[in-house]
Amino acid sequence: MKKSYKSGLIVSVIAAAAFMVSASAQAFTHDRVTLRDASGAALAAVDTDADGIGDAVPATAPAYSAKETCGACHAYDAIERHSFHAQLGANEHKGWNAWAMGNWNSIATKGKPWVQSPGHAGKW
Amino acid sequence: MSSFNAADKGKYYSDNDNDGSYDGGTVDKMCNPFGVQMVPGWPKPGCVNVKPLTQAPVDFAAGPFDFGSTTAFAAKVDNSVAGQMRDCAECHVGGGMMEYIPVSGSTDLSAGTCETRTEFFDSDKDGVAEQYDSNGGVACDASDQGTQICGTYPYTYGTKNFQCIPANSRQELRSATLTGVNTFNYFIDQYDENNDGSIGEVIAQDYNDTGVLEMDCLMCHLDGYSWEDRKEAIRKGRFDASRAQGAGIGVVVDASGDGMIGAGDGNVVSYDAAAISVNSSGELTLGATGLNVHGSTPSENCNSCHGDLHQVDWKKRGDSWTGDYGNDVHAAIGCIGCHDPSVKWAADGTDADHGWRDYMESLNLDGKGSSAVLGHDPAKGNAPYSSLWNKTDNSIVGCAGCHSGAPTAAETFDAADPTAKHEALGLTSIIAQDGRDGVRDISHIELLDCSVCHVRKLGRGPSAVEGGTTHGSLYEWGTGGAMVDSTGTDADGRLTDHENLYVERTMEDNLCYSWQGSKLTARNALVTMFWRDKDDNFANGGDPAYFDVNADGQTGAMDAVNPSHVRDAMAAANLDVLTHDGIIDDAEIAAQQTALANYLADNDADGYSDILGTCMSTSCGNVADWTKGKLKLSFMGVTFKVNHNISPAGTALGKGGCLDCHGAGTVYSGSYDLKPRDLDASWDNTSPTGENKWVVPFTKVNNADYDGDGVVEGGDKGDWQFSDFHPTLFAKGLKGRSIAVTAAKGGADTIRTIDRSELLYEGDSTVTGGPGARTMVDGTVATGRAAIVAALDNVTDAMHNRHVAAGYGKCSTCHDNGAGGLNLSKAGVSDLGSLYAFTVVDDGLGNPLTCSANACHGDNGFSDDVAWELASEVSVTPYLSALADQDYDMVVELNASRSNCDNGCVSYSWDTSGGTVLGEPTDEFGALLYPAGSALVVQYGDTSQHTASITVTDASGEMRATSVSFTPQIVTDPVTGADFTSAVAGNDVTLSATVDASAYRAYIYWGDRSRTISNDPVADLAAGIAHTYNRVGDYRIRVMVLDSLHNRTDYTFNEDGDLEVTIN
Repeated sequence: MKKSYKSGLIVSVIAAAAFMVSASAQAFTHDRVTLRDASGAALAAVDTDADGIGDAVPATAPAYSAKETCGACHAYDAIERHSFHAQLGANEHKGWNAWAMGNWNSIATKGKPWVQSPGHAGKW
Repeated sequence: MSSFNAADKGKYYSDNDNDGSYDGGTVDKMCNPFGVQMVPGWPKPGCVNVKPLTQAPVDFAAGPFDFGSTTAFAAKVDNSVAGQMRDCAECHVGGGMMEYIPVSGSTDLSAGTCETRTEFFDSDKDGVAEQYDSNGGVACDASDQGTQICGTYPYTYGTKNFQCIPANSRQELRSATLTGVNTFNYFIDQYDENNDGSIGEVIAQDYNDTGVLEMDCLMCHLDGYSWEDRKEAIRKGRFDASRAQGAGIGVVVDASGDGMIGAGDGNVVSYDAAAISVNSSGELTLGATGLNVHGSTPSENCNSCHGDLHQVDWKKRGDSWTGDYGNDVHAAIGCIGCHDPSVKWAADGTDADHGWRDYMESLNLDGKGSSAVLGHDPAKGNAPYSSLWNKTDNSIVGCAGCHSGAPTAAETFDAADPTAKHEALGLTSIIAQDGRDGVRDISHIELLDCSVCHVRKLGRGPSAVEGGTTHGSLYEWGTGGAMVDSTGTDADGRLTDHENLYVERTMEDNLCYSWQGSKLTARNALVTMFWRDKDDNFANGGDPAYFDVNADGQTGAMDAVNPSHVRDAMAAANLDVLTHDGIIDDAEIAAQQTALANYLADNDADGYSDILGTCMSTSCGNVADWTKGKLKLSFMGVTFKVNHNISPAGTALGKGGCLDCHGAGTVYSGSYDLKPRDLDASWDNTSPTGENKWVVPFTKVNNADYDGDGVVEGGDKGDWQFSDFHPTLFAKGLKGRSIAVTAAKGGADTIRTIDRSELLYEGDSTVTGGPGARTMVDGTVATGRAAIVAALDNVTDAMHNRHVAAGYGKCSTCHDNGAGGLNLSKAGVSDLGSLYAFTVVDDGLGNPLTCSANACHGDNGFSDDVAWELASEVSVTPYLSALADQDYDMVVELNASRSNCDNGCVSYSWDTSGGTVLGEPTDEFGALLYPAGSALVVQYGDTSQHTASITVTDASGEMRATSVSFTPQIVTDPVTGADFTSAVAGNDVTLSATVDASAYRAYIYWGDRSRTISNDPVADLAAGIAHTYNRVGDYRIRVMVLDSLHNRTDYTFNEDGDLEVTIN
């Protein structure tokens, strides 16, 4: 079955903008995604009917891992390494003693070997 | 650069000949910390090819710095990595150093080993999953994850490579062996994590108990993600569990029930059975309702950290995206509408898949970073004082990206092109200067950032009575740009307070301006108040007899008191932040100073006396010892760029003409209050010794021989100017020359009300070391701020005078009213009997034309000696759209509700071009969707082209008309037939089809995150469209075809099996 969409006649600048908003606001539902813990193992259901296969959500379970759960389909490592929101300066790490080694000319690092990056992470 | 020379460390030069070596200053020049070449004269050039004079290999061998003891840790650290996870990570998404630590010895990162891993997938769809093993242990090149040396495995959407794990890069914190006392394995208790009723103690961090902060994908991409719920979890170190709690699919569990971290507390979750299902394999999955995950980040999630009340860009720039977004029309396109990274990705003109930074660049821990290419990032602007991967600055769409006659953005949302209006206002005339030599070489459009005129932060938002949502502020979204009070914690326990009512500022029409290079930008001056040690003895080099409040071995320079120490000192003395009650006076300052001195000196349990060396407490009688430890308040000002909350064009500065900006107290001058709106602050800064008693300047700038003794003294009492603003507050185009501005010192002894011009021009630029006098475009020589402001105030007169000097005489010479006077009023423009006679008649709609100075002068520019033509000033801009109904044949919604009337639209007169008016658009309850009369629903009797028109009238009586042509539609399913064939040859696929002749564009999504756009799909698909896959696997192709009426038809493998291909 082909899917057809009648987007209508869009002839004005405003209407076009409105259409774009509508398109960008479309939600995509992720369902039935298997939850995995930090080791990559699928989170196990509790076997209430003793048939050897879990069938109910347990009272507690390991926290799901975004790296393993999302990363099962998406390139978690590549995304994490290439996002400044995640890196926060980790990718600009200038070594464990940046001032002493001449690796960073920030006066803020002088006498502070614990300052190692111009990003947020490392400036503690 | 040869061998490492410790004496040269920290010195950088501009390698102007880019030969990799410093030539002693002949061509290459030394750089200061702000990237300016240290050469005589002005202006000083910026540094290029910046390189260290000496540099040792980046040291990753030693491992993280070991403080040696928890006592030393407490003295030196205010927020470690583990501490940041509990504090800063309320907004930071995790990953990076919150998940990984560099491995000691990490220098060569190319060598790697294949992971050992097994995957199962039912490739042949026989109901039995096949096993796929990686080539575990095989040597590989970690810089190239695209190779398949580690093996591949199929999955639902194609094929993936097993990973090559770098041998020497980083490892997960959860499995790292951490020794000693470092920033990764200890933190200072900030939120009473051990539930002992006290804070400030140093606690060991155990990632086995807490888990780590992996990058939480859903924090950005999940519709409805709860920033608050995540914050609650991370505050107590429940890092792994925070993801489920933030996503709303579970809650953290206190396994031991003692309210504190215990084994397993941080990585165990009680899942919500309503959100979780169990599959046939007995595994937990997301439930049938799933999660609404957006590829494009919902604006609400951005605002959780950026734009909501009290969040970072509210604080810095007064940004506000709360309420109904009515404070900026751009909210309608969402944050990603402008911060769309795909624009940068497609910089080469192709529809590129991604613009990942080179994989090696992200692995290579060489301390430099590189690449200006975005990765998985929203596009960025170029705000000063930002420290987030600035190599990707200016990747944002920007105003001109959409609002321009030559837009650069892929999606412009049909934004208005303001060029004609700018021209009419004279803003494109070359009448300004880019330097200080008096030569007119740029226009105002080139001189001014868009924000200067278009950001006014108008609108306080609706009150609670008016239906707004109150946050406890005295105002609604008109607040922001708060002062940061770092003399204690906020109500949440954060180390500074920028949230209480008495640090709030009002943003509406309350901006200042600063130069970014030679461009004027709108700013908010954010001031931070903090305690420091004013012990500036630079000669002692760490003499233990002097006070070293932050224990960095230096008693001089900017020694701010660690915020954690301020917190604990105030807690011990039961004192709140100075601003807590809206009053700062001598008594409050004195109480805090005494509390801090006593705490630092007497808290022997933490060893401060031993480390700091000098007793500061009253018990030692040393508070009055002005030669040693000096605990003082300082104020640091930063002008943060303001570029959100765009005001409508009708309210932009300049709308009223030149005098909107050129006049006393307008943009570049006028009072600007650095003090928060409702704060009273005053103190007596005199002391028995004549030194500043409570408040000292933040820093010193512009070292020069001010005392005229022939020597430029450095050090504490040297030849300096003192400033409370960041040293990079530069005058126009003069990097390297700071503007010294005091924020909280002087006769008033309060937080000052400055003049805006103080942030733009030096008081006297002819002082020793200064750049000298400046020539204005009218020839005025200005020695400093006052003269510059005076010249700018009178520049319009100067323009008129220049015109007179050019031989045009008085305006009335050419445009007299017949009685020797001037008649250029809007009500009736006329010119009787002069050399340049003209007659003005009303336009066809009855609007009287105008000949305002702005319109006439702007039409031909101020600098072009030609006769001016008549122009008109327009305050009504009608917009009309026609949108076909999706349910009823030949029904069209005509909508003029987006028309702009500066004085308010009051009536709409329609010509519907036939058709039957069915009414006005309403919601399901019958309420009008748009202002009465501004939109109609019309049914036509045919599908021929019609042209409807609208005449909009504003409150002043001005009328403007516009029209739109459209074709009513028959609402039927316009299925267009197609039959696809796909030919596979190695990694190459050629897709062919016969599609309906109406198809005018096709998008082919190849299933590997790449796509091809065909603007002639009939011909292209007939000839075959080729694509090369980089990896083996099973790919499902989707073809989306549009016809000229935007009817869209999707084809997938479900309709045509040829749209699924296998690459072997």
